[in-house]
Amino acid sequence: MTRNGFGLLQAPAFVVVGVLYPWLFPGDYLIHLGSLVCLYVILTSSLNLIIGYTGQFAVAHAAFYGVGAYGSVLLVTRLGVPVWMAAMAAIVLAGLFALVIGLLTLRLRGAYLAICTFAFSELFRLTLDNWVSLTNGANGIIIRFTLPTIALPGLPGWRFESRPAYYYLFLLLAGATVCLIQRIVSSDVGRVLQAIRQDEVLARVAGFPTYRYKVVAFVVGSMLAAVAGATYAPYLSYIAPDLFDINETIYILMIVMIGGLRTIGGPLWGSILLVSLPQLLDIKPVVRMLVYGVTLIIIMVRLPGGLSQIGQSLVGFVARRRLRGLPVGAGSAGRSDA
Amino acid sequence: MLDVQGIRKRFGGITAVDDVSFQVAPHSITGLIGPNGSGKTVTFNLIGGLSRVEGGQIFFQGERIDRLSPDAVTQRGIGRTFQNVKIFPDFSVAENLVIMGQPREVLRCGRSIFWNARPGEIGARNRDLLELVGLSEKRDEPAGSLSYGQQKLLAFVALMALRPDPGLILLDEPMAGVNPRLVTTLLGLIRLFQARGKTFLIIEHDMRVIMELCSTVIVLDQGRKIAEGPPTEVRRDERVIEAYLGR
Repeated sequence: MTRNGFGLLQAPAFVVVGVLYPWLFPGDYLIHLGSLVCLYVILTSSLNLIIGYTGQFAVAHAAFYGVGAYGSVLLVTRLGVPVWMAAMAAIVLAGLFALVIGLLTLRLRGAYLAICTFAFSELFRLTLDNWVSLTNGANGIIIRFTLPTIALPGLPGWRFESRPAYYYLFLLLAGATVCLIQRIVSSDVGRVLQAIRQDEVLARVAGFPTYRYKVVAFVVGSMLAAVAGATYAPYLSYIAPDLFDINETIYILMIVMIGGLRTIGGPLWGSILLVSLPQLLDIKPVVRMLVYGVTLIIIMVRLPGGLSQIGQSLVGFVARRRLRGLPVGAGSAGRSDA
Repeated sequence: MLDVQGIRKRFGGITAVDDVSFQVAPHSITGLIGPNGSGKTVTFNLIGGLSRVEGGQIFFQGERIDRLSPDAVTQRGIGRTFQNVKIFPDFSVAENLVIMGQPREVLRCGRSIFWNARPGEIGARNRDLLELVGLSEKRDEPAGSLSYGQQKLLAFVALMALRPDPGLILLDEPMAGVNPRLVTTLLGLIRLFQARGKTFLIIEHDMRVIMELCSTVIVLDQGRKIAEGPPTEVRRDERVIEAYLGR
């Protein structure tokens, strides 16, 4: 199998650190960062299903994130739909959008697919910008509702009045997303998706209706992006069109690539490092993009498997040194032997 | 078993296949030969659904298949290999066989997300196939790391692992670029699976292979069929000597 394995150590470590995070790093700002990381885990893992595992270079992910956010907010504010029901409806709406876009575009490949999905992404942003009577245009919408309390039988209700309450919701959703993606890529469906990425002609000749598989992967990935949007909007209390433009998709894609395409751990490591570090180090946005760009080039040249490959590379490096009977720290001597 | 009736295919101003008709009998090995650019691989693509015919019809076991997609053709029982060996290089050797036997439909396949705990199990049949071609030891290695010859063997046995079982196998230059020992192995494999009930249609330039294996040979030149018959007769045909074999 390809690099699907999330590792026996990584998964429990993420769960333990994730659950204890509000105690380990108290304070509103740090908990907000934790929520952001969880949100990007959802976005990056779902994009990884489409681009990484299935190999479909679709760049409209932020638009579906936006359909989730705007869809739920507009349903609540304009039609008075209950908040949770509006969130569900927005996710289904994103799925329907993805189905239509997927059916129209997923017969295309490579740059053609990227251009068509980019066009949809821009169309979505332009609609949000210009349909002022509905979306309030570029000024965005201030959200004055929060997520309603979730009643838990025999336990106190889950009230969304504090940052930790939202953090645990995002952690739960991120965990569920990661588990779902892990199950998909380890299943028969995942094998077909990965076969399509490797050689779509062979996959078709092997008897798989590849177009249908690609559409399904696209719809599932896009609906997961909408989950992030529908739950994040009430938390952020504000949404605007530029939060869901092509730059956001590129940002999500960059996190996946730096973390590690076609790995379960890659989007997690990528989100942790690329979302939290620039905030913690207070790097200005312009410098941040420069740092991301340089990092991406270095990763692509030196570490094509992304950050999640570091552990594997280190193990390989140590094993090779041991085979040669060299100390791990030895430098040029090792090279002269080669 | 396969009935090709007057098929035509053009690419721009070039007629790649022009009114070609032939039949393939069940359990036979039929050769399709001709010079480069004579339309052999295009004919395979038309049978396999990778290209659409612009005239004529193709029937397989009585059913018209020339308007079916490649996956539907495969599901009717036609498997094929390619001139440039095609495998899934990132999958392990075993997985290249496992994928051939799994359900095709998205929903049936999707059950394994929630219910099937061991979707990657190789199964006794695939184990036997790997044993047969001497790849058992390499079952967990990435298929892309195999040598060219081993990849050819893998592509061949992957066809035999296909579900539903393909009755007709199209082999596009199976002996190209492989060493003489492997040619012998592949010849043995083709005969073995013929004895097990498979039918073969083979594109091949090695005339010794064609003479040794095939009961019928079809010769194409510039998209047209110029001869058909037993190999010994075709070899003496003046038009075939002129267009392909040389004097």
